[in-house]
Amino acid sequence: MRLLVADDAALIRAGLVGLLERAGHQVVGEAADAPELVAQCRRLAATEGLPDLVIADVRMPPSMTDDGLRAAVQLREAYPHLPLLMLSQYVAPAYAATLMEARASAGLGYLLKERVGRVADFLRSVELVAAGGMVVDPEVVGQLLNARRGDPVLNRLTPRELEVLSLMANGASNSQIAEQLVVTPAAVAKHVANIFAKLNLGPNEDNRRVRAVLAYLNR
Amino acid sequence: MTSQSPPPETEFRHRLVAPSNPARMLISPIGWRAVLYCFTSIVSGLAALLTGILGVMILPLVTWATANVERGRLVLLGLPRLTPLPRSRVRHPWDPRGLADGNLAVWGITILFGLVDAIPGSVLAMLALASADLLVSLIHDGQWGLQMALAAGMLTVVLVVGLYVAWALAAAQAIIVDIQLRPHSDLSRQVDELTSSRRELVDVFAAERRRIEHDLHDGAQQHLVLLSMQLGEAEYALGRDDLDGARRALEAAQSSVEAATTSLRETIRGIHPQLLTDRGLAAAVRELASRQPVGVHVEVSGDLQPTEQVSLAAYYLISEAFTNLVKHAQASTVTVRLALYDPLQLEVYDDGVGGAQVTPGHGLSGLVEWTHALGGSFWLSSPPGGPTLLRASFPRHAA
Repeated sequence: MRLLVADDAALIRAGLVGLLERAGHQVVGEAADAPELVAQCRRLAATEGLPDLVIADVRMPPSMTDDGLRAAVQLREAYPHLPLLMLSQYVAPAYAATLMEARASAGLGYLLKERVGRVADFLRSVELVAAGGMVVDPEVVGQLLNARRGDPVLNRLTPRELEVLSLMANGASNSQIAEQLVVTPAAVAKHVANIFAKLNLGPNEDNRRVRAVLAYLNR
Repeated sequence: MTSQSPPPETEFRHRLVAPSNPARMLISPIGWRAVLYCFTSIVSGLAALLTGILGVMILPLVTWATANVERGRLVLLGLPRLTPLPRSRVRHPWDPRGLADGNLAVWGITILFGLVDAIPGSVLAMLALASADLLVSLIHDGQWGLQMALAAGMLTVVLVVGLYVAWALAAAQAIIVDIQLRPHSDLSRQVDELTSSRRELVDVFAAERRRIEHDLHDGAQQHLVLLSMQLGEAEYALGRDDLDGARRALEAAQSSVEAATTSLRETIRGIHPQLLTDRGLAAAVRELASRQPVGVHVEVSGDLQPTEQVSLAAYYLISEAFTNLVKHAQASTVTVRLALYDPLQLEVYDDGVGGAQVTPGHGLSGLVEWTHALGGSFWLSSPPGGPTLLRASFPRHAA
């Protein structure tokens, strides 16, 4: 896959690039701040074509706040089919909401930076987002669930269903959830159906379901 | 910038001194200011009396307004205006607060001086006008001689006496008004100062927290994320039986842990320098100096250990001075003098480009407030082109 990596910390950028290249990906561009990220995308779009995925830090120069996030929103408007994987030292539902607000169909990921350390999981997330999937850090889902404590609708979910919900938000497929919870895929499918029924959400497939669940939690 | 101005009261009396030489009194501004003040005193006094009689029901409002006029009228004598107490406004015309804070006394004094001033005022004014009139008619008739000299002499004497009388009356009234109103005015100034210094300190705390957050984010946290990546990579490599790859990743991880610890140590030192607690200010400043990219010469005299609060403030003041001069001054020599006596005195001198100043909301300004909060004083001289000299002094025990 052709990737674009943006992080202001040269060490981390180099680490990420090395890791991705050793995993067989090709890094076609690097950026050290938000304007450079946007410029690199423009350059690639005009020449060899957009990358298959952009991996970017949320906090970057020039203002060292959420410049990366704002650049991502900009990119989503300019290139609705460009998948984005945002990494951050600190995640919050508010940032995830900003990312999801942008009307774009391409894959989207929002993960804590240290998740990169779980290399196999991280590489799977990279693939998933590039393929149009959605991956949201369990931490964000946890915070969202926490904020909605006492919600009568959520209270109807069993602990097992909540677990499935978190894994779903993290982009896991039914078979991956089944593997992780050591149950049969059929059981997972039943849990998922129950969740959707309890949250009054229409039955959705794969990535759309993550979006639906998050949108519900973020409401 | 100096922070220790002479006590306002001395300054006040000093500005009221009249020249002892009568000839100089004629051209000295204080005399003519006094005349103006006395004439307005008569108007103000009569107004105070009349409004007091007519509006006896609303006396608090009258006295409050009179005091405000009198505060402002001090400007006529070239004195600073006295600030009223904050929140001393009267809410309604009979609000008893209008009588407080020396207002009632000032109202009485205004009437008294208005009446007293009117007597010599009218007599002297008449004499001055009469002699001026005589002089003008003599000039008009072309009678240059003894008579004219006498008339001119009389006018001069009347003027000089008038100026001295006006000065005496004006100074007396101004001093009494000052005694009545200054305590409240000083209080109000102190409230203003405290409010602004408290705001500064809050800004300093907020800025400190941001700085620490930045330090941690850009330092230890980065290295830890990297460490996590390297460990992950080692595991990934082992999974593929790539022993060399795993070894390389683990070696990199080792360096990341070391870098993280170093960075944490730096951050911790930024929060509270360990050496300061263990070995005292002089040692901490020497160590701080040794870590600067420019050569710093440290001179220490005396051996009186300052209190912990003073040590910390002095340390950060020097540290901030270093930060600024490294960033902007392009200095080649930097000297720090530390006099460990009571009061503790410190100086940071550099031969750089100068132009340093205390901007509200920036690092140094918060430290200046901190210095003041400890009863100390701060002084900075940094003309464009340099050199820059920063000086601060801290009493052993805050006043």
